[in-house]
Amino acid sequence: MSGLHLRLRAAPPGEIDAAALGGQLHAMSAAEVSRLPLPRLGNTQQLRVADCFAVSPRADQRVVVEGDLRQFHRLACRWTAGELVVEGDVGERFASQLRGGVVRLEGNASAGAAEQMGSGELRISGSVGDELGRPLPGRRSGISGGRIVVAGRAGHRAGYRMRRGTIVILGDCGNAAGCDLVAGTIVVAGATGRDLGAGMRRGTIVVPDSNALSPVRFSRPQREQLSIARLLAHELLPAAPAIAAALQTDITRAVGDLSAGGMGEVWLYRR
Amino acid sequence: MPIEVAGVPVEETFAEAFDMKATRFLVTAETLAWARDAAAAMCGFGTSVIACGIEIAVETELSPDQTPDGRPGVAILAFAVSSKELESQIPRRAGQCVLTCPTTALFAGCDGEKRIALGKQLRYFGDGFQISKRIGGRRYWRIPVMDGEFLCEEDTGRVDAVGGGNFLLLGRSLHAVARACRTATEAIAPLPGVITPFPGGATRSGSKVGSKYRGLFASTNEAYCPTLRALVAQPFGEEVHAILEVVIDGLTPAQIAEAMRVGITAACEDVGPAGLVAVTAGNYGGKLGRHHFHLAEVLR
Repeated sequence: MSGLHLRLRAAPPGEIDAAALGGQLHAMSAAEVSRLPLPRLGNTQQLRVADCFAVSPRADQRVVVEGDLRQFHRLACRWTAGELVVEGDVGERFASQLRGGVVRLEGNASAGAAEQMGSGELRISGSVGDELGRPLPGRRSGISGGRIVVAGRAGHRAGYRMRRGTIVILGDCGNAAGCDLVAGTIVVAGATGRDLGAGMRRGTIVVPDSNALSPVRFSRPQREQLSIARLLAHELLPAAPAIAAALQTDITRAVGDLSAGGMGEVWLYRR
Repeated sequence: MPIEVAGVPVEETFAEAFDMKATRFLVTAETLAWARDAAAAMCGFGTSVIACGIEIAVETELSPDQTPDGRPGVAILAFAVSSKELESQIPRRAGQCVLTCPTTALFAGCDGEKRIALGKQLRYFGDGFQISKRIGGRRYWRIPVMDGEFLCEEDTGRVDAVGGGNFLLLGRSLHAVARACRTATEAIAPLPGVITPFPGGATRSGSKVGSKYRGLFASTNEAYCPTLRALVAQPFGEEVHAILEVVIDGLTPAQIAEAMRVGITAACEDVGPAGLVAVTAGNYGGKLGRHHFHLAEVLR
C-alpha cells in the first residue's frame, strides 16, 4: 500500500463538499480516489476528484493534498488512520469528526475545524476560524477525544461544548473560548477575548495570568500545587515547552462558571 | 555431580512454584519518606496468600525521573492466586493506605489488557467533587483531600505471574543462617520484577500442605524443624540447627530463576560452609505447581 498525492489543478467552479477526501482515503488506489464524487454545494452538479486534482501514488505511506483549498469544505472528514498532510488553506469544517491517525494542515482553516472530533491528532500550522471543535449541527457535544495543536490564533468559541480531549492554541484566542465546556482541556498561550469559559460545567482551561477572569463567573484565583499539572506539562512539552515549564511552578486556579453552577477550572500560569 | 557454591553443597532438587496473577503500581509523594510510609502501610499483612489474600511488597524505589509526576516514589508488586482477590484487595489497600497518606499519588505500574481498579473505585471518595482528566491516553482521577488533591490513575494492568519460587538455607547456627538470609534478600532486592514478601524477605515457618487439625490447610513442616529431629525423620544431619526459607514471587519464571541464583550465590559467598550446611529448595513432589526451578539449572 503506497501513499497518494493530490495536487489541485484548477479552482473549482464553486464551493465543494470534499467529505470524500477523508475517511478511508489512505486505503484506496489513485484510480479509485480519482473517481470519488465531489458534490458542489448549492448546485446539483457533481464533480469527480479527477476533475479538480491530479492524483498520483507516493513512495511513502502519507496522503498529501496540495493547493488553494479554501473552496473545499469538510476536507479530511472522518479521517481514521495513517497520516494526512494538507498543504494550503482549507474551507470550513476541516477534519470534521476526525476519528484517528494524524492530520497535519500546513495552512489556515476556516470555521468549524475538527467539529465533533472523536480521536486522533490534528496539527495546524496556521490559524483556525470560529468554533474549533464545535458539535455537529443539532448535536450537544463537541470534541470527545484526541488532540489539537494550533500554531496560530483561533477564532471565537474555540472548544465549544467540548467534552474530552486536548486543544492547544499557541496564539491568541477569540471571545468565549471554552464556552459551555463539559470536560477536557484547552490550553492557550496567547491572549483570550471576553467571556472565557462562559457556561463551562467542568474541564480545564489553561491561560497566561495576564488574562482577566470574570469575577461573576469565577472564584478568586488561589495559588495551588497540583500533581496533575506536572502530568499535563509533560504532555505539552513537545508542542508548548514554555507553557510546560510554567506549569511546573505554582499556578493559580479559579473555579467556575459559578453563574452556571459549573465546577470547571481555569489555571493561570505565569508567562 | 553435586554442585557447590563457595564450598556450600547445593542439593539436587527443585523449587516448585505456582501460577499467580500479579499487578504493579507506583506510589509517589512529596518526599521519598512519605512514599515509603504509604508503601509500608499498603504492604502490611501481605506476606502469604495463605491468610493475607495477597503477597505484596516494594519492588524498588524510584527517583523523580522515573515517575510520571516527577516526584520520588516506590514501585509495588502484588500477587494473588486469583484476579478476583487482587480486584478485592488492591482498591481497599490503596484506599486505606495511599489515599490517606499525605502528599501521595498513585499510578499504574504495568500494562496488560486485564485491569485492576485504582481511581476507578477510589474516585467515589470525592463525593461528586472528583475530577477526571485524560492525559496521554491515560485517565486520572483528582480527588479533593485536605492537603490538596489525591491524584490517582484509573486502573493498572494485571498480568500472569509466578509465585512461590524459593530456596532454603540450612545453617549451622541461627546466627549464621539469619545473616545468610539477609545477605540473600539484600542481593535480590535490586532485581526487577521480583519481591520477597516475607518479613526481611525470609520465613522460618515453612509449611506443608494440610494438618492433623481439620480445616487447617497448611501447618508446620516438621521434617524441617530441627527441634523435632528426635521425633520425626528429617532429610538433613545433626549439624543443621536452623533453617530459613527465602520465598520469591516474580512476573516471569526467568526473573525468579535469576533471583534464586543471585540470592543463593550471595548467601553462600557471605557465610560459606562455616555457617551453611547446604542449600535446598521446597517442593511438593512436583504435583501442585507447574513451575519447577531446579537448583542445578538455576545456578548453571
